[in-house]
Amino acid sequence: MNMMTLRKRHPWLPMGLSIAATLLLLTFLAVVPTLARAADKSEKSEPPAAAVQDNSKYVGAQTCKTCHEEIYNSWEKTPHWKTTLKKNGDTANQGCEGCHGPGADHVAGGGDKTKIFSFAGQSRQATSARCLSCHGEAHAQSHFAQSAHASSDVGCLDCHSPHHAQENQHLMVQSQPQLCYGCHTTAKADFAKPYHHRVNEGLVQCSDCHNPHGTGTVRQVQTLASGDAACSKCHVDKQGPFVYEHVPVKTEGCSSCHTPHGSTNPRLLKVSLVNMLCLQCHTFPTQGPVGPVHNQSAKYQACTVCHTQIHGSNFSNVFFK
Amino acid sequence: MASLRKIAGQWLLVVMLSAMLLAQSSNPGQNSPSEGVNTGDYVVHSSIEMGYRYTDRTGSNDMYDTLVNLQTGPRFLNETLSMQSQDHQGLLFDDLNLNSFGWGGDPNNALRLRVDKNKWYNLQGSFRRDQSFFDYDLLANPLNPPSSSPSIPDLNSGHAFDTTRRMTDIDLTLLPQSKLSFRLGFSHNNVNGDSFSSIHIGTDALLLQPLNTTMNSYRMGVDWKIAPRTVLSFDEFLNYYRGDTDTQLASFAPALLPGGAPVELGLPIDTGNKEPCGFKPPANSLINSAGTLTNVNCNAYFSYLRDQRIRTSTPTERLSLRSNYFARVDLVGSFSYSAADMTTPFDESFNGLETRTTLRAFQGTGTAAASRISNVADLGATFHLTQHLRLIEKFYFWAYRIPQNGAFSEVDSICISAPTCTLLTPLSATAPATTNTLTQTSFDQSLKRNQTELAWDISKKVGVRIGFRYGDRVFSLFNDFSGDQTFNAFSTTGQDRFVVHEDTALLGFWARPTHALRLNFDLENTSYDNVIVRMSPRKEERYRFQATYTPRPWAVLGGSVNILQDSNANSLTDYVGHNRNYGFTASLAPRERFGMDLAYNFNDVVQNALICFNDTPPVGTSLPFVTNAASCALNDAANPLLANSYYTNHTNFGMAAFRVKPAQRLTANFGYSITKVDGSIPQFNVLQPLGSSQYDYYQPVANLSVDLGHKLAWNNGWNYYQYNEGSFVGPTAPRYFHANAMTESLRYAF
Repeated sequence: MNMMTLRKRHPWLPMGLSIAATLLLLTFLAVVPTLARAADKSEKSEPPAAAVQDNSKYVGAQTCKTCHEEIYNSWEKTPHWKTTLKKNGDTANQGCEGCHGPGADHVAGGGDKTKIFSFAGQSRQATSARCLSCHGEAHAQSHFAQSAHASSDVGCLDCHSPHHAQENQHLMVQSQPQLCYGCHTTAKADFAKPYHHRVNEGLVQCSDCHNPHGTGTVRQVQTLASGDAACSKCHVDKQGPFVYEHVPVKTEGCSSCHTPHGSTNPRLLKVSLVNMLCLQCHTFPTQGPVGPVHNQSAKYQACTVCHTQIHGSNFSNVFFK
Repeated sequence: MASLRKIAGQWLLVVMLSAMLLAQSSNPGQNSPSEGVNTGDYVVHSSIEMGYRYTDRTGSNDMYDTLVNLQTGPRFLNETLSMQSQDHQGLLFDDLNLNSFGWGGDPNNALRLRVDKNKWYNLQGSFRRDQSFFDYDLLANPLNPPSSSPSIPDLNSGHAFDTTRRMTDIDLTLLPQSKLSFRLGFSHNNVNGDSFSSIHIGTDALLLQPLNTTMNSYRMGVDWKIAPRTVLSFDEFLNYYRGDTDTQLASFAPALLPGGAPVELGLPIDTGNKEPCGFKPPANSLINSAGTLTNVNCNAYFSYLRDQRIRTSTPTERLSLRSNYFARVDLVGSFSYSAADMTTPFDESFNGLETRTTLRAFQGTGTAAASRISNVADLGATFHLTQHLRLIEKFYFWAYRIPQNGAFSEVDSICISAPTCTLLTPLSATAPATTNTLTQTSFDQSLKRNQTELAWDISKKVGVRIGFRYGDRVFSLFNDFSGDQTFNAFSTTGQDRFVVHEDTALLGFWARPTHALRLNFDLENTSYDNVIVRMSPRKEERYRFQATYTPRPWAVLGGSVNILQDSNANSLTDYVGHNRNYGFTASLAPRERFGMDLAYNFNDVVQNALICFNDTPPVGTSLPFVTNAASCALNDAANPLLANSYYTNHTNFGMAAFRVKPAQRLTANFGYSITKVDGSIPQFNVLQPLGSSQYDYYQPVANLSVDLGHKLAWNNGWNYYQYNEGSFVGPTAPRYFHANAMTESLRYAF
C-alpha cells in the first residue's frame, strides 16, 4: 500500500502522525535538556540574565571607560547606554556588562579577554542569544530562532552594530535596501527592472513585506493579523472579500500572476502577454475553468478588456464589473 | 538638440563655478559634516536640500511617465533632523529622528519620524505619498487594425490611470520597559485619481472611473511580561474599508446618429470583423464624412453608469505568547480570529444597443454581501539540544471561509420587434424583462503546514541543516447560483473540493572557511499530489547559493545563484517552468578618493504549458507555434488550436558606478546601468507586438557635489533614461522614449 492510498483511506494520517511525532518529541525533550545540559556543561553559554547574579562581579560602565574610552564615547550616544540609568539594582542587565557579562575578573586579570564575553570570537548563535535575551521579548524578533536567517548563520551582528552603527535607527550597519542587497543580489537586480516596487526610490522598504527576524510563514514574508498577504496592506481594494472571488488570487496568492520584486513586464506580470497568462489556466474544461471561445485574431486581444475586475468582483461572476 | 545644448551649458557653468569656489576656499576641512549644534539638552543635526529639476523628453511621454515620472519644477528634495538628549533624559523626548524627501512634485514622497523617551514611550510614524501613472499602451488595447473603416488606432492603454496613494502609519508604545506596556496604532491609506476601465455590453466601451478607496486601520495592544523573558500579548485590530469608485462612460470613438444624437462606439473598431458592427454598402465606412453612423444596427452606447459604495469592516483579535524563559527552548505562538463583513449596494444603468440580444437599455439594482472568517494559528519552537545542535519546529494554520451572497435585479428593455431593432428604436418600442439573480456561495480554504528542521553547527566555520515540511490544503467551493449566470467549469449548484498535500525536503549548508569568505546553500524539493489551478506545480525545486568574499575591508565581492524549477507533468497541462538567476556584485573603495560598484545579473525565465484557443489569422499568415490538436478539439471543441505557450525571457542587467573625489571639496559620481530583455511568446494576433518581451533600458547617471563652505553644498545631478522596444510598434503609439533629468540643488547641513 503506497502513501497515496494510505492518504485516501486515512486523510487524517499524515497530520496525525506529524502531531503525534511532535508530542512525542516534546515529551522526549522535556527530559533531554537536563541530560543535555549536564553533558554540555563545559561549553554552556548562558545569557547574562539567566546567570546567577553576584553583584560583586560587576564593575560598572565607568570602569570599562577607563580603558575603552573611544568605544564608550560612541556607545554613550546609543540607546543601549540608557540601560545604565536603571535604578533597580539589576547590574547584570546594565551598561557594558549587560552584553559582555561581569567585568570584575576581566579587570583583575589586567584586561584578560578570556574573562569576559567577547563577541568577536563567538558563533552567530551565541552572539544572537545575547541580544535576544533582552530583544527576544519584542514581537518583531519573536520568530528569530526559527527564522531562515538564523538557520543560515546570519546573526544579529551581521545587520546591527552596537558600537559602529552607520544608521542610528536600530543601530544598523547600513540602511535598507543596500544592507539586504549585500546578500540578496537577485533582489537588487529585480528592483532595477523597469517595473518594480519602489524600494530603490525609498518609498517601500524590504521590511514592509519581509520580517528579517523571521515569521511563521515561509520566506520570512509578513502577513496581516488576518492571515492575508502583506500585499493587502497597500493594495487594499484587492483584499475583498468579494461575492465572486477569483480562485487563484486567494488559493495561490498574488505571486501566481505577479513577480512582486520587479518584472520586465508591465503590472509586474509573470509573462508579457495577458492572454497567455489567462489561457495557461483557462484551457481544457476538464482541467479548470473553460477557456474563451473568442477568436484571438479577430477580437478581444486582451482578456482584461472585458474581465476588468480580475482580482474579484461583487457583481459579476465573470469579473466584468 | 537645443535642450541638450542647454544641459551642456548648465554643466559647464557648474564646473566653472566649482573651480572658482575651489580657488577661493582657504580651509577645506571646516565644512565637512558638522558636529551639530547644542540646543539646551539636545545635540541637533539637521540638513535640508532644495533645488530645481529640469526634464527634457523625446518620444513617448506616457511611457516616460509610466517608468520614470520625474517632472520639471522646484523641489524640496531632502530634509533630516535628529535631536539627541545628551544625557538621554530629555524633557519630552530623548531622541527624535525625522527624515523626508521628494516634496514639491516628485512621484515619491515620504516622511518618517521616530521619537522616544526612555521607559515612557516609543513613537514611530510615517507618511508616504506616491503618484502612479500608467499608460503602457499594449495593456487592455483592442489593437484596432488599420484595415478597418474607419481606422481608429488606440494610442493608449484602455486601463490607464493617474492616481495618488497617501499612506499614514503611526504606532505608539507606552511604558515599553514595564511589566505591562500598551500599544496604539493607526494607519490610513487613501488612493484617488482618474483611472480608465472598460465594460462589455455588445462591445467594449471605455469607462472613466475616478478612483477613491480608503482604508482606516486602528490597533490596540497590551504586552504583559508574565515571567522573565516571557511576554503574553493581546491585540485588537479594526480595519474599515470604503470603496467609493463610480464609473461612467468615456469617449473613445464618438459618432452621430442620423438626426444628430451622439453615440459612443466603444474601444474595438474593426469593421472587417464586425466590431462594433460592419458598414452597410454602398457606404464604405461605418462613419461617413459628416461623422454620422452608416449602420444603426450597431453595438453602441448612449450612456453607462455604475455606482457602488463598498464598506468592509474587519475586526481581528490576536493572542500571542513568546518566551525565552527556558534556557534551551525558544517558544513563540499566536492565535488570531478575524471576521470581515462587506456590503455594497449596486446601481447600474445602460442605454444603447446590444445587437445580439436586441437589448436597448437596462437598469440593474441589488445588494452584494460577503464575509471572511479567518483563524490563524502559528507555533514555533526551537529546542537547543546541545549548544551546537537544535531542533526547529514551525507550525502554521490558516483557515478561512468566505460566505457570499448577491441579490440582483436587472430590468432589460428588449426591442419588441427584433428585426427592426436599431439604435434609433425608442425605449417606448421595447418591452421590459426582469431577471433576478440570487447568488449564494461559500469559498473555503484550510491550510496546515508543519516544518521540522535539525540544525547542526559543526563548528564556528561550518553548519548544516536538514528538515521536512509537510502541508495540506483543503479548498472547497459551494455554489448555488440562480438566474442566467453560470460559473465556468466549477459546478453551478454543487460543491467542488480539492485536497492538496505538500511534501518538502529541506537541506541547508553554510560555511565560513575564512573570516573573509562566507558561503550559503539552500535546497527545497517539493512535491504536491494535487493542484487547485492548472498552472500550479506538482514538482518544485529551489536551489540557492550565496557567497560573500571580503578580501580587504574596502573590497566586498558577492555572488549568487537562485534557481527555481517547477513542473506539472499532467498530460493535458505539460507545464515546465524555471526562473534561474545568476548574479555578481563588487563594491571596491581602495582609496578614500576613489570607489566603485559593479553588478551583473542574468535572469532566465521559461514558462511553458499546453494551451488551447481559437484563432483565425488573416489569409496568408501563419502564427508561430500553433497547431491543430486532437486533444484540444476533443476536450474543448470551441478552442481547437494547441500551442506550447512558450514564454521565454532572458534579462541581462549590468551596472557600474564610480565615485571620485579629485579635491577635498569636490565629489563626483558617475555610472551606467543597462537592462536588456530578450524573449519570445506566441503571437496570437499578427497585430500583437512583442512589446515588453524585447527591449533595452539604459540609465546612465552622473552627479557632482561641491562643498561651498559655510555648511553649504551644491549638488548637480544628471539622469538619462532610454527605453527602446525591439519589435514592431503595432497599431498603437510608439513606446520609445529618451529623457534627460537635470537636478540642481543646494544643501545646508549642520
